[in-house]
Amino acid sequence: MNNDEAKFILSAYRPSGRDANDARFTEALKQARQYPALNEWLAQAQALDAVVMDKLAQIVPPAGLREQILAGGKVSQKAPPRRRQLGAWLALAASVIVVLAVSEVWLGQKVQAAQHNYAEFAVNDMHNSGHHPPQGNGMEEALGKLASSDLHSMSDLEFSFNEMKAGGCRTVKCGEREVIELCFNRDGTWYHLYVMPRKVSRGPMLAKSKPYFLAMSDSAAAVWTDGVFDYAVVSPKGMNDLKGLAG
Amino acid sequence: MSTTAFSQLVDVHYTPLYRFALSLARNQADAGDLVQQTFYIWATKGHALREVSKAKSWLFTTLYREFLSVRRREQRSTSIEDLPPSEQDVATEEIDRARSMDANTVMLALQSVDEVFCAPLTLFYLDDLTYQEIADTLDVPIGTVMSRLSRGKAQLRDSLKKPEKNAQKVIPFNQTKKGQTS
Repeated sequence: MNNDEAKFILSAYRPSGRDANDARFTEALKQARQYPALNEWLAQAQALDAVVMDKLAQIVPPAGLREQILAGGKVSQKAPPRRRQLGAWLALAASVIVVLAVSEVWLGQKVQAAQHNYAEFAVNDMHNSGHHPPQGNGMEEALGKLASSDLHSMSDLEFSFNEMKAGGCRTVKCGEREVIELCFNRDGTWYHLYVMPRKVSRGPMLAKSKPYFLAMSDSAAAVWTDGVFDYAVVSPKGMNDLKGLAG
Repeated sequence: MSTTAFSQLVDVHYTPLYRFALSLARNQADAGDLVQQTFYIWATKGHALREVSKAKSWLFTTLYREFLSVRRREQRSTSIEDLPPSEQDVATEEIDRARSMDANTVMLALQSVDEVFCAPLTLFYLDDLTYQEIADTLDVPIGTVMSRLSRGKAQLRDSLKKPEKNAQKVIPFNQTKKGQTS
């Protein structure tokens, strides 16, 4: 290391002694001790640095700056929790919305699948099982009402599942659920009404608002619920005939 | 971070930060704004800093970056290659002259130094950071810090010789910002 190189390094050596243990300066300091001219240069340079440092240390921040910083800090320190809280609530709300939306879609799909299955079951059963007029006491009256009722009025009939079952009405399994079949004749056409108590049903509720229609071959089925029973009625004459019943 | 801890952090660091900001911004108002902005960023982000021992370095770095975020859009930086060679010998008269000056005059001389040298020079005189911390703050190697110090000192000494010219050389930070928007 020559003296010019040492000067370059020592120009960064602070007079406070902060850099005394910094290995970067060790060799240059050693060089300064060996060369009086270099040592004199270092002393002068550090004297000027010390003056500038002292002058800089006399600079004081303007009055009120500390208070402004603290006030700003309080505001900004309070802000993050609110943002986090708001963010958390927004995230939670978004999650709920997503869950509800997914649930609605999922439930909608489940309900539609249940309606479809019930309608499909009813049509297939009608084709496979023949006609079975209602049995038991009071069934003739019910038969008469069914023959003249529209779809929704069929729900107004007072069904007693156990009485109908005890009276000999045909029951059939829809999956694991027991369903009573009521066949009625209307203007020479045999319709099949299937009634399944909801308390027995463990499947998703059918749509209450309006019937679900399903056409299969020449036949069609409509399913709905009144909250007590799940109904399915099948017409062997197809969709138009069934919708005529719906009124 | 608690209010007390934040207050303590401000008390320890806001004065050297202000001095650093004043040398960069070249006027009190903008220097104050820079310091406030730095602590604001600390309050919103810095509390996540795990090692409190690094708070000082973090604050200086943040202040400098905030300053650069505005200044980088300007084209006033001086090429190092354009500078004259440094005068390395220090005369006793220079020391006496500087000693006779008030702090604001010396600060004005410091502010007149080209920005690329002013930042390392001020950090050098503040004597708050190690060289590694200065290098980290300025995001340059330590060798570059030393090189800029050498050049910066030469400029400072030249400014201290002609303090009456420094006021004309120093363009306040707020005026350069206005110039950007016009």
